[in-house]
Amino acid sequence: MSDGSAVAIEVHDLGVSYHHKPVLWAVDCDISAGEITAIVGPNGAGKSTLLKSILGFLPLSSGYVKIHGRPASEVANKIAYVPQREEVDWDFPITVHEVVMMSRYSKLKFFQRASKEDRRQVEDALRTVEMWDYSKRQISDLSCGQQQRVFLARALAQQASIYLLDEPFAGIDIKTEKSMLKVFEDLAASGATVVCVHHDLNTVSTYFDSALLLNVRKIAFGPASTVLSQENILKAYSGRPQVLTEVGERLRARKFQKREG
Amino acid sequence: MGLELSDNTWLFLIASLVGISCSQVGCFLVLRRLSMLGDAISHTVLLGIVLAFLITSSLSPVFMIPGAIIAGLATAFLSGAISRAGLISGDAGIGIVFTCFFALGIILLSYFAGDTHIDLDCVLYGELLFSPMDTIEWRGEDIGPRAFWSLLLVVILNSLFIFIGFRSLKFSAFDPIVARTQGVKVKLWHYLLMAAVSITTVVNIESVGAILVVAMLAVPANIALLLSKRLLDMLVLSSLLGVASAIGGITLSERADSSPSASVAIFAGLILLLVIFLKKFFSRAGLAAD
Repeated sequence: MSDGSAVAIEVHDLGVSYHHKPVLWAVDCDISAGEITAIVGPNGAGKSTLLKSILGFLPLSSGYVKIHGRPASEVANKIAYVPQREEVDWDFPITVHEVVMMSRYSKLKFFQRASKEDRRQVEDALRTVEMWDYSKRQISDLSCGQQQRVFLARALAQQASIYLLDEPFAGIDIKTEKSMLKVFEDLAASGATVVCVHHDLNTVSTYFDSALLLNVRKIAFGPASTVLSQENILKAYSGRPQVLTEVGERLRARKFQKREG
Repeated sequence: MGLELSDNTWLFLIASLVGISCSQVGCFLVLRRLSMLGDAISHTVLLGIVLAFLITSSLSPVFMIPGAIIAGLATAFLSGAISRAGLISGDAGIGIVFTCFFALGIILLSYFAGDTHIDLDCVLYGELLFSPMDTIEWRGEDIGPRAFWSLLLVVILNSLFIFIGFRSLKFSAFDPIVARTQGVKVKLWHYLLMAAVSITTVVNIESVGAILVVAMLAVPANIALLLSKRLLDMLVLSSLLGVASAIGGITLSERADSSPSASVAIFAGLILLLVIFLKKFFSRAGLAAD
């Protein structure tokens, strides 16, 4: 890339379909390193799908994603992913410490035990989110906010440079929200890239540096303060049926040709 | 020296090994919400056994086990593929593959293999009571029932499998997406687990029948899940519960003169009810104390 190190995640002409229905369509954006970026849009806009395609886990119908100029699959352990809280079973018999230790797994060889360094990273991460005192608890004992902080600690212990979080602020109290935001700001200040799927339009411009307004297509991308204009919001939150039928019909008619980046 | 234990003792030992081996793989099925798939595999292995017999005309485990593994993996793969195709929702794919494979196994069995040792009643209900009588010899000595030794081998293989794959199995059950970012071969471990389930069920069906296998895959693991804080606790506890159900159920069947297999399943179910009741009771008492 000519514009070099500032772009952490390059999304180019990204398209993803489930069962021939487009979920993402021709999405372009360059997400900068050292910034906190929000992905906003209505339900079903493809926000979580965008995160998963950045992770490199979804078959793309068009386009590509590059992380620091390389395919995601080559830098997988540099990307920390925090799924929505509902995606895992919180009754699973596993302790807080074990959950966070999970992020050290790729650094261990088969059968190798966790080293002092691994343990130190796990402790640091748990202390950062103020959950060290709970490390021996089973995860089912925790409140929503605590569960979310454990997930954040797991991402931190991975020592990644890209952090992808799916609705990290959903269902948590304002105090946890503020303390998590502080962690994001520290990460960004250290040069890491933080991307959150976010649902609260009111806090976008105060919490985030940049924002991507999404509804299957990219509606707008840029500094958080300018993206959420009245016009853009209207476009994002009322335009979906039309976009879907248009694209869906083209797919069904098989007129659709792959655009390659 | 021959191993000289009474038939009754062998019966307890065999039933205990059934409980242990099934709950070993059952824990992972329960945690991954795949109990239904375990249920399906424990029936579709019949198709694998019958096909292996039709091809090789032999009832040797050398052919039966690979046949069962292939049928089990095909069940797991096909039911997954049906739900991924997106036209049929949820676990309906499992229901379809389960019934079709099992029915096909039954048809082939009654058509081509009517006069062999594979007996349908035996496949479904098992003959736990007779399993101590089918003994094997080693170096000319009677060393006890075949079912005991083959089940012991399964328990050892399962233990090795879980020991080697513990972290990978744990993480891919808890959070498969993040496990994948950490380089865990989630799909590989899924199919290895399905192979383990196939081996476990086919060996168990021989001695106790599919119905008890289904119960033992699901019930002890679910009780253990209610009581465990960590995965290792759950694995140990579910094995103990498998043994407890075996001993309790057989004792019950002797008193009530009922089918041992069915009694073991009932006993396990009773323990589950008791644990749920106690847990509810104590959590309510705990709330009241607050």
